[in-house]
Amino acid sequence: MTETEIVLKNVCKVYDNGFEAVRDVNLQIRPKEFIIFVGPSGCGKSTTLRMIAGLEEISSGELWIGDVLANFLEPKERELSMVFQNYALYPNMSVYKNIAFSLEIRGVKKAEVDKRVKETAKLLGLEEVLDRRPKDLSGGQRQRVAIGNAIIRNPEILLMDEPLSNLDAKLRGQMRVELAKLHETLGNTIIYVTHDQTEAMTLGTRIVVMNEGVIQQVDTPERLYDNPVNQFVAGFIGSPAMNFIDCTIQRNAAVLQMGIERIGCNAKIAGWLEDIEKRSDLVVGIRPEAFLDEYRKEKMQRDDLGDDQKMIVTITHRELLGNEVLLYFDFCGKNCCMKASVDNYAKAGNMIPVWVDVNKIHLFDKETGKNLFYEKNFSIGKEKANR
Amino acid sequence: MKSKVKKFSVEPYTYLIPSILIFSIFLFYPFFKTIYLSLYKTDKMGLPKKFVGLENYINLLTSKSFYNSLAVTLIFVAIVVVGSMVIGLAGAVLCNKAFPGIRIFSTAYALPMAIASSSAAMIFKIMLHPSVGILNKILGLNINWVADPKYALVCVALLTAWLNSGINFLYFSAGLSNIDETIYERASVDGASEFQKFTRLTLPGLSPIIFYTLVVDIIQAFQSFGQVKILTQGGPGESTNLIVYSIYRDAFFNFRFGSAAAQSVVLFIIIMALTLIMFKVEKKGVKY
Ligand SMILES: Nc1ncnc2c1ncn2[C@@H]1O[C@H](COP(=O)(O)OP(=O)(O)OP(=O)(O)O)[C@@H](O)[C@H]1O
Ligand SMILES: [Mg+2]
Repeated sequence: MTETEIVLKNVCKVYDNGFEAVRDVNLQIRPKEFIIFVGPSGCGKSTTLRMIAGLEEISSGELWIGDVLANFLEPKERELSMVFQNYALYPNMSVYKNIAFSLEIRGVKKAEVDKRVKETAKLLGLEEVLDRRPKDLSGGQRQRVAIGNAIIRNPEILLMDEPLSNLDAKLRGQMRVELAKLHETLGNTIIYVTHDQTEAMTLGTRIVVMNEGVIQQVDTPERLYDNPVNQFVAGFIGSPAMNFIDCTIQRNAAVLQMGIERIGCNAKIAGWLEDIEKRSDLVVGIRPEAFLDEYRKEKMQRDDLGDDQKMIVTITHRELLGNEVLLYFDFCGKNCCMKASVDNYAKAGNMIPVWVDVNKIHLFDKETGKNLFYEKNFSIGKEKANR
Repeated sequence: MKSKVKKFSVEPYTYLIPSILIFSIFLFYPFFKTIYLSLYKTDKMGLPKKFVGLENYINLLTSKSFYNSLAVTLIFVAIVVVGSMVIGLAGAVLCNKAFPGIRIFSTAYALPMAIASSSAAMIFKIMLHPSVGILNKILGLNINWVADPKYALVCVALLTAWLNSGINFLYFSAGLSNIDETIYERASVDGASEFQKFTRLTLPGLSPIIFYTLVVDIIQAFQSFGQVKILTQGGPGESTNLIVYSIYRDAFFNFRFGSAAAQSVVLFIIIMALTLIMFKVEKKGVKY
């Protein structure tokens, strides 16, 4: 495998009807990277992928594959392969022929094709259905045929548009592992689109979060989670989603005022707050696990959290997720979610004490959605990385 | 438990009556009448006079003229079917992409469907005219197209091919729009050339429709009449004397209705045999 880097410079896509699907995308995809595009439906993930594949014209900007300007290369000259969102299987060919297609048209010898098809089919669990036609397959099987067709050529660059979206949970888990293994052994660059959180967080070396055609943040899964650049990313990454509560901070007081509740900050956050203009149009973001019930507080020995961070809430709903419990409660007009210990038997209607782990809060500008702690967290992250 | 098998009831059959009536009057009666006539010698009014058994058929199968008609018809059908399918398919493939003015082109390709064969023949007669015809003028030749035995059959056949291509164009266009666009995208990413896409995706995708149009085209080609009547009247010599035209001539010029009827029956048998063979082949070859 050679080391091919893909670079997008100010790439835009305007469709014929004037719709701007992708705006000013700048991205450098390193060789052998497993990069993941996530974002809500219609945000331009597929469009970006199709521009890289050469199926969609690039309206403006540059696409570099290796040291070639690829804007005007035909798809087949780009030597990559792709799994399509809607499978795009050849309806008049058997599964075998579908998988073998890209080899056959290249004139690879029959015996070699046969060997590789059998291997691929085994890997994907398709041996039983090789003689069938796509219409006689289940959705998940079709998806696997599409993956088989894409990987059989062992391409240097592999584009995948939601390749696992139609598999059941168990199969999806297996395929995730297979894909990770595949990436390890083949060492190709994989550009992968999904809107499944778990896939994004577990597979990717880097994640690209898009919204409305604009890249919001490109980062490793951990950093994306711990230090989102804005409110959109914060709300999109993580499940259940981060809770957002309107808040104000007052002059010379290290206190977050949320409605009638006041949460006192620790020294670190208080220091950060000092640099921030005091105003009332802020949003505080608290992840479900940053709310601690008494059991988790004890287990984690968080004696630093005192009455200043404590509030009493009324549970409205309880959800058991096996090894943990989600409790919902109304707070400042928002229905918030918290992760609680399974030992917590609080039911709807119960009032329980809850502590806010102030170390893990995020503060956003309500207007622009910008994370006001981003720079601070960023430098901490860097320090950690340097150590 | 009630039996699922319905008792016989008259009602469903009554719904069939209108179409049976129409078919009987315009199809079954003439059909059996033709078979009946083919076993008789007739008078000038077409009334059966003398039962002759298979004599009409025996005469036919020993007549040189009939074998000529047969040969001419087969060549004609081959040219017409291949020609009309190629023109229709090429047009449909070309018009399957969106480009400015596509409607004009589509209309142009579909237009022959709306032209009566006799009026098209009239126009072609002028175009093919040896001295004032546009074809000779453009090519700078001096050929009497429809009066030369070398060219007459080809001219009539190509005219018919063009006439039949309109409906084929429509069928193929419909077939193409049924093929999922994204499989072509996938094929380009897989590295297929345009030619490979055509042979491996387009043709197989169209195969059911190609088969259907093939059957219809063959039947239709066998029955071409108007253009022969107007352009060549079966001549020069007997070089364009298609079976249908020969039937017409026998019946309405020579008043040999018995022989004409016998030829009709033979034509029917040929067409039916071809159709049956095609459906047999189709079961193996065409994939849906
Ligand atoms: N051919 C087109 N013409 C006009 N607009 C289009 C076209 N194709 C896509 N769009 C629009 O571009 C936007 C981005 O589409 P895209 O397919 O890239 O979304 P996506 O991020 O892949 O979404 P999903 O997760 O649902 O697949 C959408 O709003 C869509 O409506
Ligand atoms: Mg998509």
